[in-house]
Amino acid sequence: MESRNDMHVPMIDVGMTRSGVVSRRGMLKQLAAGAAAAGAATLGWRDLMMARADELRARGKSMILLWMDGGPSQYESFNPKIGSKYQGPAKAISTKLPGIEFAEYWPRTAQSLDKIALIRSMTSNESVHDRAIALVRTGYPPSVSIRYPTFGSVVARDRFDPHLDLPSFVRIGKPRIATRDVDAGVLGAKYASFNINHPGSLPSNVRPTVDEKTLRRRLNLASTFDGEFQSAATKDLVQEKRDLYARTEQFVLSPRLGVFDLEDEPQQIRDEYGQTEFGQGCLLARRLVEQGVSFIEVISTGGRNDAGWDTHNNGFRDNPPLCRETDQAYPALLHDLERRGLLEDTLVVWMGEFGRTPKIKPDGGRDHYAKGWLTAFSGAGVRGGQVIGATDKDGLDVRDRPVEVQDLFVTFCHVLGLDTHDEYIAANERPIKLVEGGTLIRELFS
Amino acid sequence: MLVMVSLTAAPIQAADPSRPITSAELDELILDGMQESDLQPVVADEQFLRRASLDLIGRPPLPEEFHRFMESQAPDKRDAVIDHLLDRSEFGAHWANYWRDTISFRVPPPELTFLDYGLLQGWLAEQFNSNRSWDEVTRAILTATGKVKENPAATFVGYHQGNSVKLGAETARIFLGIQLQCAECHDHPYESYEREDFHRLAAFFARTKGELGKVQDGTGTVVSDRGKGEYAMANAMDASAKGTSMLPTLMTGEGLPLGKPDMARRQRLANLITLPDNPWFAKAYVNRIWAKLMGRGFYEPVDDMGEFKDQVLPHVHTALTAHFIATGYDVKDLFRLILSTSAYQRRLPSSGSEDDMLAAGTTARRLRGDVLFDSLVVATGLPDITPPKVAATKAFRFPPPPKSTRDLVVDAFAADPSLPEEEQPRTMSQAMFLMNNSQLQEQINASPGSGTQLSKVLSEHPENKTAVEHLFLQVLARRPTEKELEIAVAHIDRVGNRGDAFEDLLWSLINTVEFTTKR
Repeated sequence: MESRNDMHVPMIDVGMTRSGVVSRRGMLKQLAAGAAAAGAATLGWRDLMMARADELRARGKSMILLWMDGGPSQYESFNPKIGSKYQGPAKAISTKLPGIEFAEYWPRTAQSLDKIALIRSMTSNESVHDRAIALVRTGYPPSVSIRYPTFGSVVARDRFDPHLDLPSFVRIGKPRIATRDVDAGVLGAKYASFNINHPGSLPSNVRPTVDEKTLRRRLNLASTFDGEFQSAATKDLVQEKRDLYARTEQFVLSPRLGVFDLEDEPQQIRDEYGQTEFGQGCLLARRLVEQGVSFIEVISTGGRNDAGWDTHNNGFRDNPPLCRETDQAYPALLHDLERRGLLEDTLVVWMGEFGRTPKIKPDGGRDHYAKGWLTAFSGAGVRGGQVIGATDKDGLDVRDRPVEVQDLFVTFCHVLGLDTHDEYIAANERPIKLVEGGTLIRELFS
Repeated sequence: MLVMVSLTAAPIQAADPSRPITSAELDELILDGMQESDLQPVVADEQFLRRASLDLIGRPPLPEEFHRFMESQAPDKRDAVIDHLLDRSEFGAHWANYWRDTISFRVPPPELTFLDYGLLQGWLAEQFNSNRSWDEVTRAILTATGKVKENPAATFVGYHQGNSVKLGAETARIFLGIQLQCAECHDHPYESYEREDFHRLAAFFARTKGELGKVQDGTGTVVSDRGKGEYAMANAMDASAKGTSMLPTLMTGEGLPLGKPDMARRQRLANLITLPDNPWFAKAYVNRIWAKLMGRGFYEPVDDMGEFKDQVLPHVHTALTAHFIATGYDVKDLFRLILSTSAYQRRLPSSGSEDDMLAAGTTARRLRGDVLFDSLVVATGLPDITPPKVAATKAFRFPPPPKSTRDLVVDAFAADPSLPEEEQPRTMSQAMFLMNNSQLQEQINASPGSGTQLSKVLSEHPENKTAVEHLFLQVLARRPTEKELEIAVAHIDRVGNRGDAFEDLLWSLINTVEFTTKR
């Protein structure tokens, strides 16, 4: 468990606040050592800004992960195999990209493919849910000895700023099966996600039960008693508590908490995303990006049962509504982000833990399959309107450009400005790199 | 290779290491090389009572317990209250929580199962309350077999699902206080353990089988004998090559030949671990208890007593270890011994003191989840409410078990007991719980009809001063200072409305540092 900031050695550490404003003091402090060493002490503020503009931009980027919990079928989504015996009744439709077809349940996403780089050649060795979720959410193979953190926590750790009044990692929606959840792991509660189980409502204990005036009066009184308690022996304890309570007070009384309330969003926009948990979750994700939250995860399960995208049975029945819900929200999110000028600084990733088998059961169910599954990237410098990799004509195997899970994580880090060689310290003084192995998926940015 | 961790030779040792020592002798050892004047004086009665109550029964004293203790004129009243607390059933329950957390924090949550530790907790509580010796408890845990529901001691082995790698690592960590898991893949980078040491230990569990069973709370888990097989250490150079079969052997060099059934292996392991000449077993237990009581272990983290790790007050550690062995691993006796020392009863040292000074007295610790919940019960009358269980349906097959009020507090203030105090998380969720939680806030209600503890205090104490005094007793287990009384009375005058002012006071007191700290 990491506890000391001095163990955290970021590539650069510029004081950028959650709303994207660079704190001059933080930056100068950081630069002092480096600049002196480089004999560049005469560089002015403006020069320094210019010198680090690229890194600064990267540091301000956010990520939204659209998590298709259970493993979506590639045949019923973005890699239909028309003419193959493995394709079910789902027909293909054309997309914005000539020659590229989607399953018919995705008309809106098909027309937004110009904003999406689709990878059709994902491969991994894990095709059991808990193991695959562990791999795809942490970038590390499942382990019984180390609880690797989910990527949002890694980002939260990198972006930690004690003076912010919003969390840096927010999760929207509940995982369909709680025991498979992957959390902050060895990084601990400090970097855990702030969980919104239902978009539009805040979790318990956030809203004070008394008015602001009363709360502040009580906080003052507690602080006065703490002052009485303070002695040479307890001054560190008192200071630590004051810091924590100052942050908490700022958060629970923040006018920015209104960001979690969707009521003030125009009805038309709410409808654009779809009046579903996932749709409104995507809308909330956009609102959080606007406020500078670094990492947001929106979970799609369809909500009707805990099978989610895990369509072993009744695939022909369950896939169309699951797809329709996502087809409404996903492109709406991309368009809305673009309209507001946020897409260039927001990486949007669509994925699940694996894909589904070519072989179909009589009712359209498909089992787990970790070859030729899908991920989709948008925003933050990703060139949309391209397809990377391919499977064979039946979708049995990857034919071109296999992409592995570690490659995804290297790419996330690249976009967000995290150094993959950066290490955090787990219990037993064991340093863990942000990502082990993997290479950047360069095509995304070409 | 045989690896021994040397027990550092003590500069001062009690006359005969096979004879138990007294608290006075222990104090003398602690003081060796230090000036009494460098150390803090012993605390006053009220602070001692709160400290001892939190450590032994996991909650602060009730006002009536406070009064009884304060009014007693007996010269040995501190020793008497220690004995009294050790006799309460809350003693076993409190330390069972500690060990339950020590075990459960490192059990990976299995697929589709919400492991329930209630049975283990209850079983441990019985063992501690009946003062079963630590070697017996350990042997019971390591050799347990059958169904968790019928034999809760099987929880440790069962919930690790008989995984030999995990059981080897956790047995070393929990019962021997050493970290061997680094040696799973390579020789230990910072210690003299070799890769083989780890795998020979894991081999004791080669035939252990732990099957989770169908019940979703894990209590249907069955521990049994796999019936065949040996433990193979993978080839470090070539993972596809055949591994090497390992002889079940402890780092002391003792063990078993291949081919033995599961029970023979685990019994042998349990016996080897708990032999009086095992260099780690007693030392590890004493280190944990010392850390928990005094705020800092001889070694930190408590489960990492490697040969090259820093150790404070080694001679005290050695003497305590010898004492613990000489008493036959008597659990209650060790608490009695330590709590009776002046060292335990000293005031908190200044922050920034030298390590030895810190170790020679009690340092502050934040209260863990269960203790904090029980403190809230004393302070506010908070009830423990469990919502109805959500039944599994065809559509939603795996609903998580409902969370009681205690669970909510324990979750928010969860802390792995094996981590040092400074690594325990301090989070905004914790602050938000104490500031805003609706169940807790319902208790902060002064109106006469509310039936809260606060409303009763106000009706029983029409005088504001005595009501404030009573509130301090209930929340902080002490009387307010003159200054605090002044602050409180001034606040009541300023707010005007008595009820509102006392709601502020109760809220503020549970949101002080002192309330969440053992000091």
